Amino acid sequence: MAQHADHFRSSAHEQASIRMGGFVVVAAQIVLAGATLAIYASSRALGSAAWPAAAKELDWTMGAVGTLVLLAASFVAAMASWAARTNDGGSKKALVTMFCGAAAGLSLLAAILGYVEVSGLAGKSGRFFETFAFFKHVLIVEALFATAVMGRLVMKAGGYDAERSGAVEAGALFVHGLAILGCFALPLLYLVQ
Amino acid sequence: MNTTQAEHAHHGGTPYTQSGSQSQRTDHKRIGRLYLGFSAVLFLVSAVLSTARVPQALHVGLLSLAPGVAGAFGTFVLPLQLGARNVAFPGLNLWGFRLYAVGALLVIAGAFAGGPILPIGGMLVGVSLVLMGANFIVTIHKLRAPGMGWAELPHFVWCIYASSVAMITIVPALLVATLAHALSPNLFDALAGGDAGLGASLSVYGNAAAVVLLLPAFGVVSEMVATFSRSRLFGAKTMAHAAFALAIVGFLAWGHHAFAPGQSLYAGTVYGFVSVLALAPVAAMVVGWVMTLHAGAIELSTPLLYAVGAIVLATLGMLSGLFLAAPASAAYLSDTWMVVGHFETCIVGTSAMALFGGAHYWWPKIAGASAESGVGKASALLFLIGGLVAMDGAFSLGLTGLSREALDLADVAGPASDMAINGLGAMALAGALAVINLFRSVSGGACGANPWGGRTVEWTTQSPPIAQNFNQPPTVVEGPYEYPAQAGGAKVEAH
Repeated sequence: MAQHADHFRSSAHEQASIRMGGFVVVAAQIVLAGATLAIYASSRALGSAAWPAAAKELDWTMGAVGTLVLLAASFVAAMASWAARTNDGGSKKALVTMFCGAAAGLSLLAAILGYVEVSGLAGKSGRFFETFAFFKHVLIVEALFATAVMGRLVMKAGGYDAERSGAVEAGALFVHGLAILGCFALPLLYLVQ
Repeated sequence: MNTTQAEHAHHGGTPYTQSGSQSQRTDHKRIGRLYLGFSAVLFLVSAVLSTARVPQALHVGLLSLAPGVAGAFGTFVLPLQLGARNVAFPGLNLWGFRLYAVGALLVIAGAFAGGPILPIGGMLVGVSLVLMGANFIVTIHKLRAPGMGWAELPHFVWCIYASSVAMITIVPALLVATLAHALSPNLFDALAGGDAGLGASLSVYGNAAAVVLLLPAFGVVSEMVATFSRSRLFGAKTMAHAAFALAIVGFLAWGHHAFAPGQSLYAGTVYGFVSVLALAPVAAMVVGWVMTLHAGAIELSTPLLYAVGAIVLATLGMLSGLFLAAPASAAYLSDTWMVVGHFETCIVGTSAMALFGGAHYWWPKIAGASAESGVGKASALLFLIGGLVAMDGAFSLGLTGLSREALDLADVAGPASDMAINGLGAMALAGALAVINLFRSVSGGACGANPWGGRTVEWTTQSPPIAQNFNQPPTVVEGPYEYPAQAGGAKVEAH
């Protein structure tokens, strides 16, 4: 039988608890994303004629690269979850380490790209740029958090197997949520016309 | 016993292994003690700063109580009351405390120094609350002892559960609002082309945040009242429902923040009604506590004195809320010190009395000693008197129309100002007495497993509990407050 933390009755009990914890955190993320979009909607509703014009000053290349990085991070996080559940022996630890490490690195890269982009807008004022800076900072904070989560999973990569992969699944779910926020929320600003 | 056998100890009642690999660092009892110590120190610092008329005292006081009661007793007591060995995610629990401690220190530094430090600290505290809420919810769902159904949950657990749901649904939005305000203050500033209504809209979450503070305190009061009345909690099911009703209606009542700036007649009527409605769950709990005391055989101990003090302050705070819930009076009072008095009474007074009362009540489990003494009782009475005096002074200042922004009272002379300040000073002195009493009791020798005669699960294990909490896994066979005179027999059986 697989090992489990000693305050759980069994591995199945531990996995069910981790899964529930993952969904509770996702629920909190939904509230966070909802509040973020509420700020966008309110800000946009008050938008001026300068809003579409200001949108053209964004760095599309940087935005596209950042979005692709987030999508890639989401993909490798999913691969880490797959490796933790389905592989065994020595390859499992190597695969989980590799995929979680890649997701951590890509999340960190997304945070850096976001910071570079928002720094490039320093000096530009107006409601559009303030809203954009707010969105970018939410994403940067989330990406840094994803980096920490994935880094933590790397440190425990040897402890996962088919029955004990809930933490990797929950981590992958979080990075997916981050990618969704990046893919759907930010284009609202990039594509505004 | 090998590891595999130990895995099934909960099911079959086989004794726990004594060689568990649970890390000392992530033991919920250690982290609960850290929360309790840190929040008690912050509260005392806040009270001293208040008496010195330092306006930043409010930040310090809020930080001591925001995660204080839930963090200290939720972390320490919740697993014990559920018959569990730890919270569901011990590592997350430790990180939650670290984030809270660092965030609280940053907020305090930011309150004095200004700049972006304060919102960064606020966000760290917020993240710690989300982690705490998620941890408590999963712990309550998944780690209850065999036989403990929803009907067998103590009221403290219900209050922590309702508070945790509020934590994960309220705090993320507050985090976003804090970040938006820090990065783009113009978004909320109508004079700078922003939208003042956006800030008001996000205050829906700020209003409900008070629920996060109050509910755990109410749960602590319920435990102390039931134990020292030797009586079943009156209307226990209704009180559990009231906890969730308070969390829900607290959301809906946010519009009363717009009474002073102005809103339509219909909006004022609706929000006035809902704001009054938000007082109903608190009233239900007060009735429950008073009827429990009325029906029971009261033992006038230190924790019960703290509980009665909390009930008095909660009741007066609730009644003062009526004036702030009615649009006609709120239009004049809601930007004055009346609000400060309401806040001090409801949140600070009630939560602080629950914090120090709970520390005395669960001190046998926390430190292995009983802190019952004349000094403890004197601290409870002084705390209540200080709270009443401070409240009276604050309400009097509010009736004169003094702005709530004048937090330092630097330019306000007169008896009302003196009462507001000296009342806080008395509370600080009472808190210091309580701390001295608690630590002095440790040298008085060990106490038994159940010095109060409590009926909830935490009293079935030794004081202080062993690393695994219980020698043998408990099985719950009765409700949480079935005292022998009413139901007979023990509530918990150990195999």
